[in-house]
Amino acid sequence: MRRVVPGAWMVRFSALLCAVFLLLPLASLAQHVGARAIVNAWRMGGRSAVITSMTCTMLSMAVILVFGTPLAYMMSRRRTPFWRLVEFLMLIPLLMPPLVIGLLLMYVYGPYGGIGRALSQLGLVATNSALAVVLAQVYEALPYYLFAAQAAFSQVDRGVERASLSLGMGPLATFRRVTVPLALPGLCVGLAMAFARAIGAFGAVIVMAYYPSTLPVSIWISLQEQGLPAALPLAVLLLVVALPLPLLVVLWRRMRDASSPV
Amino acid sequence: MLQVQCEIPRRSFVIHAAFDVGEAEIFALFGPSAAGKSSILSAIAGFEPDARGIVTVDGNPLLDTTRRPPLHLPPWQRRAGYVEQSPHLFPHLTVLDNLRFGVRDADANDFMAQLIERFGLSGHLGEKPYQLSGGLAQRVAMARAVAARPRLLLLDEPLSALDWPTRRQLQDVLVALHRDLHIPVVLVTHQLAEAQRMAHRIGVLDEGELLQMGSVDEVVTRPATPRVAALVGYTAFLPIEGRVVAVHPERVVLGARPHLGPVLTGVVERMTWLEGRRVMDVRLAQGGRIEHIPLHPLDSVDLGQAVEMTLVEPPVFNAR
Repeated sequence: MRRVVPGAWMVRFSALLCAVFLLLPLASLAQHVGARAIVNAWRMGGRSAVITSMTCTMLSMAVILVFGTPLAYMMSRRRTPFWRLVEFLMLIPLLMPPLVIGLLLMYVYGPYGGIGRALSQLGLVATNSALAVVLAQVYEALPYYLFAAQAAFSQVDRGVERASLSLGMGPLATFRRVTVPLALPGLCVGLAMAFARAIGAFGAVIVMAYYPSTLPVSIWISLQEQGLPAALPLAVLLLVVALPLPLLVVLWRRMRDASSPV
Repeated sequence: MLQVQCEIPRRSFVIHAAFDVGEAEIFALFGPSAAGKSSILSAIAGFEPDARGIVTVDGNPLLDTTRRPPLHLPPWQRRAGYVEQSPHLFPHLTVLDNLRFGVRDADANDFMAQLIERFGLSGHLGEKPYQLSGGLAQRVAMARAVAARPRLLLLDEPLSALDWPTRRQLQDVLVALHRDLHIPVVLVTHQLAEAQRMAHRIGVLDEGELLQMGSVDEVVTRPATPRVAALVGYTAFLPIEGRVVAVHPERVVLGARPHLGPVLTGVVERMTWLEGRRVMDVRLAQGGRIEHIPLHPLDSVDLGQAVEMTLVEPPVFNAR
């Protein structure tokens, strides 16, 4: 028999209210933006913004994967005071407001920053360039991947890794054949979160790179110069490129978990 | 031959391990929980970076901290088959891929086929670990360890989570396999029956110290100290003629047989069942109690009845 919990309807009502609150703006977007407006936005500069955003985000994802994975692994496996401190300090970039990130990055990588000057010696410019966009995106998105990947590595049974080592596989082979396949769902979700964060990065990006304009920066420029109706179609473009990948990854993980509980 | 002479520091004590295991031998490390048994196995397998001392297999060092620089052969170079209580199968691989995981020899097909047959895995090769029962998973773990052709086999209570019939079956499989493999086997167990059934020799470990080593029969019938006696199942220590006599319920027979050992009298206080056998607790006339004395099916004993019992060749210790 189903138990009637006092106040249960209040819980249900609050839950539904919360879900509606989160989905309502999407419905209004569909109501206010037509297909023609999106096509116009695509033609009037949206296309180049999409290409800039996608290219820079893909580069950022590569950087995050290559440098974030080893750090996440060390944070999950080395429980020494040093790595615990590193783990704690990594919370700062995660929690830092994006605009502040942009200002700080400008001080380090900008024309008057130490690294910025060194980069300029190599002919690289870290402001108003694709490099600047990538730096800002990586800084904003990396912590999201880092903590998700750390959790994914922590969930891999150490006994299974021990079994691999005792069967003659070295640490690299064990990492490749055992640790990564078992951590893969968590790593993918982390990467998808980082992707969503990077492609939507605005605060740090606008400080570092007004040009080449990414989609979020283009939206802001349109909003400033032409108002809401001009900015909204670009926002739809951003959702179209930003949302499917993370949603598909989450869906894949759910289907995978349902088919084999490993 | 496996030769172990090492120390492993732990938070509350240091484990001292010193023993040899011949090629045709199964050596059981027996003792209570947290005695340090698993740590010794882990050190031999190469997973204890703090271990100090010397461990060799057939004269080849796995660990030698007396050298400069010290030698800690990494686990993946030791060729030590290591099976733990949990099977730790690779969950993303099928049974067959698990078995093949550590196999590098291209001509291993015959040996693999034999292992699959011995461990009864032929009907499960395409299954994933989550589809296997506990017993089957442990079979795969053992077959996988052996398939990699180890120089020694380290078994850390691999059967303790299984039901008794499965355990007994796998014990027989392991003993038969060992006869063919001819490699040293170290078995960690906290079940004396398992050590008795499988091992040629036994080492009793308590708080990091190997208290006694010898044949299973020797350790059980002639424990060196009261502590060893207690660990191998002696449940009562009775003062008799100024000395302490250790009583093992399995070595108590009904009736007075003075030529076999001391005769005691008492009253049957409780009768119950233990692991499929009828057992009784007897309150002794001299004071004290002996619990779980097994009864023969033909023994006719009632609750409250006065009985005479003989302790068969009990170990005797000096009173403190």
